[in-house]
Amino acid sequence: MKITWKWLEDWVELPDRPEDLAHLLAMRGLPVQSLERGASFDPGIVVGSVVEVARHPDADRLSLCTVDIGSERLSIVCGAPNVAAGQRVAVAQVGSRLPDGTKLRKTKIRGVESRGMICSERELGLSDESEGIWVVPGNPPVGAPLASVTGSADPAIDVEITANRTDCMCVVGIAREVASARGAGLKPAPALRAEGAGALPEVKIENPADCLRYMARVVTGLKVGPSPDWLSRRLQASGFRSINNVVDATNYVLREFGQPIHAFDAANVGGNAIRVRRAKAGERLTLLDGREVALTPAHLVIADSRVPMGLAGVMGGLPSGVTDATTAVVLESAQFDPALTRATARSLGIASDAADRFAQGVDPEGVATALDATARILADVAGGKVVRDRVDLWPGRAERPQIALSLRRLAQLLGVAVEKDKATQALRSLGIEGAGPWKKQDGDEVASFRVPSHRLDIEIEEDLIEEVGRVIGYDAIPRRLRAVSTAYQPEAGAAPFDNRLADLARGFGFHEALSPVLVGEIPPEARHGLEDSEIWEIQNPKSRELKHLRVGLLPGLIGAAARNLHHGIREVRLAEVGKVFRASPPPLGSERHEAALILAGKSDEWDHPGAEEDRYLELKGAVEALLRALGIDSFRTDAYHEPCWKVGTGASIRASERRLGRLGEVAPSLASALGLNRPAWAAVLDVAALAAVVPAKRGYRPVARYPASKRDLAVIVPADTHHADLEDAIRAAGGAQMEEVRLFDVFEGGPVGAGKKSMAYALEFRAPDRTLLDREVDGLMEAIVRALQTKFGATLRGGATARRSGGVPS
Amino acid sequence: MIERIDALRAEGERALSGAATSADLEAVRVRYLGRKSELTQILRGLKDLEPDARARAGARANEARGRLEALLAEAEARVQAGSAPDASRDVTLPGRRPPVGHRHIIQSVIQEIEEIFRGLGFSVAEGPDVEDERHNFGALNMPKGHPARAETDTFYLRPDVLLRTHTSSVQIRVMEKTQPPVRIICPGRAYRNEAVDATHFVEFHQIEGLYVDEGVSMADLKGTLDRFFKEFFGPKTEIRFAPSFYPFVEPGAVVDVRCLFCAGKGCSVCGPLSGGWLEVLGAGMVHPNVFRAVGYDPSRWTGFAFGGGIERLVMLRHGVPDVRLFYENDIRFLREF
Repeated sequence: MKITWKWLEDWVELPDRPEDLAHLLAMRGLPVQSLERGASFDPGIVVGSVVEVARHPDADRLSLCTVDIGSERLSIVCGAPNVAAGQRVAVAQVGSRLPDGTKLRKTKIRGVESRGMICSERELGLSDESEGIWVVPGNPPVGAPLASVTGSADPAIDVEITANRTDCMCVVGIAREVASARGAGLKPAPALRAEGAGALPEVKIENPADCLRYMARVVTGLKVGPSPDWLSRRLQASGFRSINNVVDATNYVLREFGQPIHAFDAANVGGNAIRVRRAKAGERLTLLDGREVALTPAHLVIADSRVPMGLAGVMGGLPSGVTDATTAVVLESAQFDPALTRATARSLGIASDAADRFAQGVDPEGVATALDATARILADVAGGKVVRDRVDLWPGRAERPQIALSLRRLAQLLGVAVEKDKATQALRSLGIEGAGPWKKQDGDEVASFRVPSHRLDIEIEEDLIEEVGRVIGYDAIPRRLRAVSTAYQPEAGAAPFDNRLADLARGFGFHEALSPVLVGEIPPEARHGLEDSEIWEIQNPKSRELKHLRVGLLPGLIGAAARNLHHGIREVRLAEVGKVFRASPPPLGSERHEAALILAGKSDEWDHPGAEEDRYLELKGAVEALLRALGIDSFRTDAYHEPCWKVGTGASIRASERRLGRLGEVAPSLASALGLNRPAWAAVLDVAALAAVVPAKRGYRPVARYPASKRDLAVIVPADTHHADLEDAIRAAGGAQMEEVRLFDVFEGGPVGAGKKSMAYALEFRAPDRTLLDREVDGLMEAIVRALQTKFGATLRGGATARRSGGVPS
Repeated sequence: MIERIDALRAEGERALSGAATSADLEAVRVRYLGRKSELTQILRGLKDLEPDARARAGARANEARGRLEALLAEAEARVQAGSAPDASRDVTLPGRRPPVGHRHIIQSVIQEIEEIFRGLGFSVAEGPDVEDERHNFGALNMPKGHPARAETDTFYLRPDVLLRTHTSSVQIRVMEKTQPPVRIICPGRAYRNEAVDATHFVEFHQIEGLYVDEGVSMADLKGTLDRFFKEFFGPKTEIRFAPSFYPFVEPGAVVDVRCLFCAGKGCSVCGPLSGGWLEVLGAGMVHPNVFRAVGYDPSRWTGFAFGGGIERLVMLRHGVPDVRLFYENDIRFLREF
């Protein structure tokens, strides 16, 4: 909310420096967003007096002005129609700089020399728009630097008001906080002289619940016209447009007291009667903004004896509004039911400052203060006479509630003991008065306080405690660190496991990515067979790209890979661990943690020399290494298909009958839909499934003490034979002493023959309690070879198995 | 005897490291390892010693001899080669580097924050991103019609189902299931339907803290956060509390840290009017209505809560200028942390 320094200073003594005011307000919970000190003008811009205005000899629309700037008289060409002899104006001399940086030069305009410029408000940066030159108000000395007279010295202050402090949405509210903080009172407001004669309207409130208080005053004999400079300037600084002196006075009071005021043209108040009533079905009203609205009994209106004149608390009507011809006004200051005002404004789609204020709730006592202030200002700026009496209907008058404050509770919440007198004093500085003495009660002391009518936010003891805290200052609260009093609470969340996965992936060279949960249309290949109804869709999306909740991590990583390759990154290795979402079961759907890896681009030729590029195995190897690092030693891969993978590359990884994850080469259609036009390999792991098979604790197993017997086995099998099946068969036939089965070569073509391949394994046999005899191992090898022959039609390559090492010759 | 052996060994080592020519080396060899050298004499004379002393001195002398022989061989190689490097080995070739990945800065900072708070006795709690109105608003003292519930800021999935606008919802879920004392932090994503710019994205990460027990006060809040920020931003970090408003706390506070860029002298980051302070968290004492909503007795328990954006903390500490960088997954950016 914007106000100005001097406006605030009308109400309270301020610190010398703006920084100090900003600090003071911040420590009260009202941080200052900005403080515009206004333009500090170049000393070459001075006050001049227009001595003579003559027509430019060569241009009808230009004048040739003689301007006295004290030290000399300048001849200046001016295009503004409003320039006139006798005015005080701002003259930018040749060589001076305007606030926008323009430097003034001596020029010839249509053949006539101009030695400077008579400035408009816009040229001086004082206003966004201006018509003609600025006539400097008051009677400043000729030749004085403009900076010394403009009150560039009335900075606009923009204060941030939290939602609870609606009482601070005005100058007086902020002044109250400053006064409390400086231990001073508010300055007295000027008195209203209401001595005019005239009839007051006859006011009736139909339903007391709709309108808690209604007040009116009448000002006669006024002249509608432009506002004086101080008024329009302050309004502009606080974000209002200056319209005329009557409207400006009401807006000024709104900003000063936070109370909306409406002015009716007294001549248009039919029957000099005001009815605060619900609209009748079929009634219509043309609003001040020209819109015509159809009314219903859900709307509260201010009517005269016949027709609605305005929407109560929201917007006035055009026919009863103030015009240039208005000479007398009825001023309305009221307190309407907040919910009704909000509902009325919303149902008709009208937004107004007044509606906002009434919806927040206004100070019932401020209704009177603001009304009198408006009348006083009108008398001042529009020359009116204020009729002596005023209307005041107050059906909603209620005692302010009293709230008990316990010293013990105060100390308990703030963490600092506050003496009772200090607490009383702190609250009094905010207008919160004790309603009785402090009373002893179970070793505690308690007193009741009465909250002033403008503090609608204070309802409970904790609110009072915050007020005491604000006044003594949060800086007075000490720092304390308590030892753990809490019983141990095991953590059930997935975070530690997520971190472990990301750390492992990092160790394999994958950068951790973080993709948005909100995504656009999900490509069909990446939907994992989900129905539309199982995919969350945002009802009020920001855009088409942020419309669904992701159902998997793969699309995000594919998109990231595409962008990185596009940036010229040679190799992309990205990993992400995060939540994925389903819309079932109701009500909140389900959330799972997923981990995904993606590999794309080319690896560095130097770092991986001669690496036969099989990125599929590289990615799969990373996944297997990750599983082993987690302690999952036993898992199995099987071929499977899902549309996100290129046909024939999908593999599912299982352990203990649980599917841990899937991997494959990304389907080209999916990749290209996400902007990736190169092959990529990816894996998606189910974090909960991983966590379930990770051994909770690893037990000690004795390290082997006897040497292993090592044999090589190369077999020729049909080309469609799977390694996993061969390994299973080798292990089954090798029995308990079969320790390691390691594939070291796969070879197709050439001597092996069409439709066949050679698979070479290094085998290790070991017994825990002795060194195996060669003939024992020979026997196991024979059994293995037999099994492979039977199951796969395997033939030994080279005709025999080779002995590598180990074993005791028999 | 032992002392003499050690002295000879030290002398020999010094002499070898100083030797620059073959002639030098030969002289050193003769003096320390030659047939007439003192060390050789000692070894020869061992047989005259008592068995115990013989064993000890023998081991020591052989060790010294072995060491000097090894150093002599190295020194000979060095002297022979002169300054010319081994032509067969270009030591300046880059090594073959295994790939190295990086944690995402947001995730590693969350982990770091979790560790700091675990050290202060907090446990990490989690809750769903997809929430109902009760947990996101109602139980947090924001009943229907409350202005803080502005629909425009919230992504709705169904009439009563939404994406949580803060991680404060996790407080409610934990308190519903647990009796005090409760000391938790809840990191996670939150979602707001805001205009996207350098400091706002529709998704962001928050960390929420809650401590409920008998006698918890704002002093505990201040002490906890002071400790946290000193660990997070460095031991000289200063914090400040100023009053503020959040519906689910009373009294409420905004927590500032002394500007990290100008040490509080005033700069473009903290602004000319802040007095050199940067806003980092919202905090306060849990509102009695929140306790009532989860069935805690507000006259018995008190508690503090705090919450703030992780991205902001990272941007301040690491100087990241635009929040969108965190979600683009540009490897050049990811590698910076």
